[in-house]
Amino acid sequence: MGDAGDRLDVMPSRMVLAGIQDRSKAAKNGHSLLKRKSDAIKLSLNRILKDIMVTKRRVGKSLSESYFSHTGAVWAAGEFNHQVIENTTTANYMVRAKIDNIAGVKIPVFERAPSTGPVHDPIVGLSKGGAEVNACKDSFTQTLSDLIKLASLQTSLKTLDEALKVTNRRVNALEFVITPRLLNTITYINAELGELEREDTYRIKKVKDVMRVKEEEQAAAKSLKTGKEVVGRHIPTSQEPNIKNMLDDGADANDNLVDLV
Amino acid sequence: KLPGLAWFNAEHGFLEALLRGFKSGLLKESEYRQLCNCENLEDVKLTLGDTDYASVLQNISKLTPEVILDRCKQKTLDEFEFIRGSATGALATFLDFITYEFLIKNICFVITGLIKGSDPETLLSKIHPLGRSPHIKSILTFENQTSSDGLLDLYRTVLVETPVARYFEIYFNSEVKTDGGGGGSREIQRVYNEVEIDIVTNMLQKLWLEDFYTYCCSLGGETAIAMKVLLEFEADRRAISITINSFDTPLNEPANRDTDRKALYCNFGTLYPEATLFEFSKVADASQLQVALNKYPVFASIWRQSQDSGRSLNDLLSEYQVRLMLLAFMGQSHFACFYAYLKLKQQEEGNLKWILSCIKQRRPAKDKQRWIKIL
Repeated sequence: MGDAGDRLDVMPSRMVLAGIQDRSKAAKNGHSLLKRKSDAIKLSLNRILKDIMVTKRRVGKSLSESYFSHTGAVWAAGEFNHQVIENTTTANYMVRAKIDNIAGVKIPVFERAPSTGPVHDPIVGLSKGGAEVNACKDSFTQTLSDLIKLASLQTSLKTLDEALKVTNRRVNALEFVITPRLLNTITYINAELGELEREDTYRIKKVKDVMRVKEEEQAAAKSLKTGKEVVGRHIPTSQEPNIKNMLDDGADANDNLVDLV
Repeated sequence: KLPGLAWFNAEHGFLEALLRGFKSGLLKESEYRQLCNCENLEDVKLTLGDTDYASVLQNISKLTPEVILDRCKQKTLDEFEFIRGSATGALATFLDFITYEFLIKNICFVITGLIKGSDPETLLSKIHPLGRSPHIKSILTFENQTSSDGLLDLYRTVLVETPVARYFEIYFNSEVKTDGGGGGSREIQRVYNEVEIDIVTNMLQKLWLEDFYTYCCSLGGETAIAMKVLLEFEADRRAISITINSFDTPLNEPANRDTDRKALYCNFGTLYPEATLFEFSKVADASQLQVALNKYPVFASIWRQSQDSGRSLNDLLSEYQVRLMLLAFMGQSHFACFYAYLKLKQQEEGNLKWILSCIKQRRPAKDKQRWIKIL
């Protein structure tokens, strides 16, 4: 009965039972909360996945467009890459990480930081192809923004995925391990307590019997004193096998108990 | 002074003949069309195998657009070096003049790179091969470039030796004058720290172009006549490009239009003096530029063509320039064809690069059609 399955190793007492019952309640509560959290994460995960797909497609396209615009710029202005590279000292485009909160999960979000200091925009291809170089620059800036958005989404996806896994593990642990174990423990304690109760009942019954025998003996002794010979010794002997029977057969205990009550 | 027609062949006839041979090796329209139909680099190699480039494309272990372009570029460079090495007298000076444009660009690039603290070896590897000069190496090995006197020393000891020193001198002197003193050394430092590298380069190239023009005029004869057309167009093209490309920059501010931007225009050309000195000062956007150019039939028609066909003005100007360069081959016994040949070769490089990039990026066929027909 009580030992069926996994249970906590506790002393079966009423106090422990109360404690375990509290824990079981808390586990149930936590389970429903975590379940809701996991659902929320799943929802935002789906949203992010959709977003990633859209952004990825766009990045793929804009990246090739950007490279093509670079080809156009080189066509118009000649090789200008190293001129730009050697003349660049500070970053025009900086990224800042912000912490966002989705269903209690902290996820980093990247966004363009307002650049510190003056933005230096070198003039390139003044005598030839400057317009195309600028178009190329704009195109790449746009692509860069998309790429940063994608990076942000991907990081969120990873973090959320991890969080979802942890939450699901917790939900499952609560559902399939902790709650059954607590329930088992409760059953076990209840069973043990019941047994103790039965033993008590039996003991009380036994004491009652002894007390009755004693009373009868006393009564017999009284009557003996008064001269009346009674067959008092006969009653206890007839009672003895009945008692033995009760001790032997545990299954009948219940019936007896009911009878007694 | 150039020798007359009678003596020209005796001195430069061989090189001119050689050059005309090289010229016939320029890619033809049909070859470009074939290139445009190529699906991959193997096809390109096969197509180029039927042209003058066949010999340089042997033994390539891994085909990349860069390798192909490098080999082709190297071929042009070798041809030019050979001609330059064999040239004597006025032709040698003339050919040197052509390389100064690249030398100026390289020197400016190297000096800014040094001030910004870049690695000399990387800088050296990125300079234009036509503007290579032993002086550039000395600039790179020059010590304490960063101190304020360092640049003046650099100018005194290294730059002054280069053939383009006089342009630097004129430029820095003019800067000193407009800013009211400040000392030469600080001036160079200031110019390289504050003024846009592209503006410095363009200023120096403008001075070079003017000088080149004067030199060609002084040569007289056929050369002067042919070169005048080419250089004037180059000056005009520069003026128009600078104006267009300045629209989004500080150069377009009304205060700067009359000073900084005007300083970049050459003091010759068909647009000079009326347009470059007066009209362009009022130009603040493309439509105003169009109005200003309306008086010049050549540019007005190019502008219209650009609007009608949707092609970029830059491309159409280059196309027109290519036609002018080809005209230089019509005459004989002059130097203009040497200049024209190099320019045509550069256009060809650009064409090849465009087509190869399109093939590499798998662009649709209509994107490839931007190349400019030469022959």
